Amino acid sequence: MLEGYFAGVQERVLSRSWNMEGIVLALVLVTVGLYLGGSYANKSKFESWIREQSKNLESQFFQVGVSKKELFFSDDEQHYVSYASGRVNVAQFIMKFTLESRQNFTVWLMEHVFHFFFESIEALNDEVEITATLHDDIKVDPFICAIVNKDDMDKKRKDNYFLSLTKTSDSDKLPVEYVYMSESAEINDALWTPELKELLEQNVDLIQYIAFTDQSSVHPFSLDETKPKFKAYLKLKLKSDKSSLARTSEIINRFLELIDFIASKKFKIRSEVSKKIAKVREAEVKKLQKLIDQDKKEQLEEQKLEEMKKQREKLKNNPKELEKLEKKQREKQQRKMMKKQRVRG
Amino acid sequence: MCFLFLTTDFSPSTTIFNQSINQSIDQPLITMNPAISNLVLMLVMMQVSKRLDWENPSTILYVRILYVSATVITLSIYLITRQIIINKNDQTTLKYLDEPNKLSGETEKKLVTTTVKQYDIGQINQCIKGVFTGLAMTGFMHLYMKYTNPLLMQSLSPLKGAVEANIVKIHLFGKQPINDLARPFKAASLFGALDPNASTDKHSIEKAEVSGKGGVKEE
Repeated sequence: MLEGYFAGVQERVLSRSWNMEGIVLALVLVTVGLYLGGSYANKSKFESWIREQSKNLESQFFQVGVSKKELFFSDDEQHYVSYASGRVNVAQFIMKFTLESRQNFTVWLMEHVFHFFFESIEALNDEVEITATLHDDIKVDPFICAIVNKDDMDKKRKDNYFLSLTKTSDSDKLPVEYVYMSESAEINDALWTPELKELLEQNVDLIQYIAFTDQSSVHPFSLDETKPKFKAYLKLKLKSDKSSLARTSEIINRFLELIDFIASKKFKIRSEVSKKIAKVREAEVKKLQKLIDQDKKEQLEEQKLEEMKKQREKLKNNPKELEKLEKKQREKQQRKMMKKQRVRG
Repeated sequence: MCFLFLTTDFSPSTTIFNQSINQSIDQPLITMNPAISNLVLMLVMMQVSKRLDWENPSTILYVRILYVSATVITLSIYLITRQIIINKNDQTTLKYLDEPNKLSGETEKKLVTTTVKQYDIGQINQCIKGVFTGLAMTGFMHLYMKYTNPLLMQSLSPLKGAVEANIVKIHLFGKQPINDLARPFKAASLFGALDPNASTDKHSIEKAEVSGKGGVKEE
C-alpha cells in the first residue's frame, strides 16, 4: 500500500510543470552569483592595494595594521579601514577606504543611472582618504593649505569644512588640473617644490587632494571643536594596477616628507600671516557663539511658556485667582512693551 | 504647458489673432525672443495639426516617424556637443554665485567653484535630461492616453530648443562665450534679467568663499 502511495507522488511530481520554480531558482542563483562576484571584485581590488602599500608603509612605520595580527578591518563589502602608527612626527595614520557598491548589482546600477537624473543620489567611488595626525608635543601654527584636483571641487568644498574657509586660486606652480585652496599664498610657496609639481603632473588620475589644516573636516557645533588641531589629509583614487600601486607608494612617501617638513623648525609662518588667519578663526567662533546663544535663548523662552501654562493649570478651578494672574501677566507684558518703545524712541 | 492648449478649439474670434501672428512669421525667427518664437511655433503647429487627416492611419505613422527622428536628432546634437566638451577639457576655474533653492528653504546665494568643463557638462546633462523627460511625458500621452497631438507638438520644439541652447551655440556652432553666452548663463526671462553681474560680482564671491559652510553632515 505504501508503495502505491509513493508511486502516486512520483507520478504527480513528474507530471507537474516546474517552470516557475526553475525561474525562481535561476534568479536566486544569479543574485547570489552577482553578490559573490561583486564582493570578491571589491575585496581583491582593496586587498591588492593594501598588501602592496603595507610593504612600503612598513619601511615608514613601526606598526602597520589595525592590530598586530590584522592588517585591516572591514565594515562591509565596500568600506574598509586600515591604520599605521609609530613614526617620527606622525602619531596616527588612518586610511579609510570606500569602494563602488559592486556587491549589490541593482543598487550599483540604480546609483549610476539615477545619479545622472538627480544630483542628490551619489555613487561611491573607489577612493582612500588618509588622515595623519602629529604627536602632541609638536606644535604647528594654525593654517589651512590644500592642493585640490579640480574634478568635483565644489563637492570637496561642500564636504570639508576646512576647505570652505579657504580661497580658491589657480597657480602657475600647479598643473592646470589643480588649484590651491589656501589661506595664504606665502604658505603655498613655502610648501612648494618643483618635485611637487612633477608629482602632481604624473598622478593627475590618482591625487584628489593633499591638505594640511588645523580645522576639522566636519563643521563644528561646539566651541571645543573649533580649537586648532593639525591634521594632514591625502585623498587618492584607489587603483590596483601595477603602475598605479607603485605611484601610490611614491605619493604616500612624498606626503610623509611634506608632513616632516611642516613639523620641522624650518617651516615657519610670519606673524602677520598668522594674525590674518587668527582673525578668520575668531570670526568663525563668533558666528558659532551667536548660534549657541540663540539656541539657549529659545530654550529659555520655551521654559517660561511652559511655566506660565503650569500656573494657569493650577488655578483652573479658581476663576478669581486665574483672572488675577492673567491681569498680572498682561500688565507685565505692557510694561515690557513700554520699555521697548522708550529704548527705540 | 502646451498640453493645455491642445484641446482648445479656436473660435472665429481668435483666428484674426492667429492671422496676425502668421504674418509676423515672415520675419526671421532668429531675431525674436525664443519664448515668443516658441509660442509662434506652437500656434503654427496647431494650425498644421488642424489640417491633418487624423482618421487616416498613415498620418499617425508619419507623425510618429517625425517625432522619433526629431527626438533622435535632438539627442544627437546634445551628445555630439557633450563629446566636444569632453574633448576640449577646458580646466579654467569658474566661480559664481548660484541662486538659492527656495524650495528647500535656502535664502542666501551659494558659491559654486567649478571648471568650465564641469559647468558645461552640467548644462548639457540638464538638456539631455529634458529630452528624456519629454520622451516620458509624450510617451505616456501617446501610448497610454492615445493622444496623437502631443507627438506633433513635441517634435519640433525640442529641436528648436537644442539649436538655441547656449551650450550648443558655443561648442557646436563655435560662437564666442561672451555677452549673452558668458558663463554662468542667465536664466531666460520674459521680463529681462534682474542684475546681469549679480552672479559674478567679485566682492560678494570673495565674501562667500570663506564663509565656512562646508562639512555639514546631513543624516
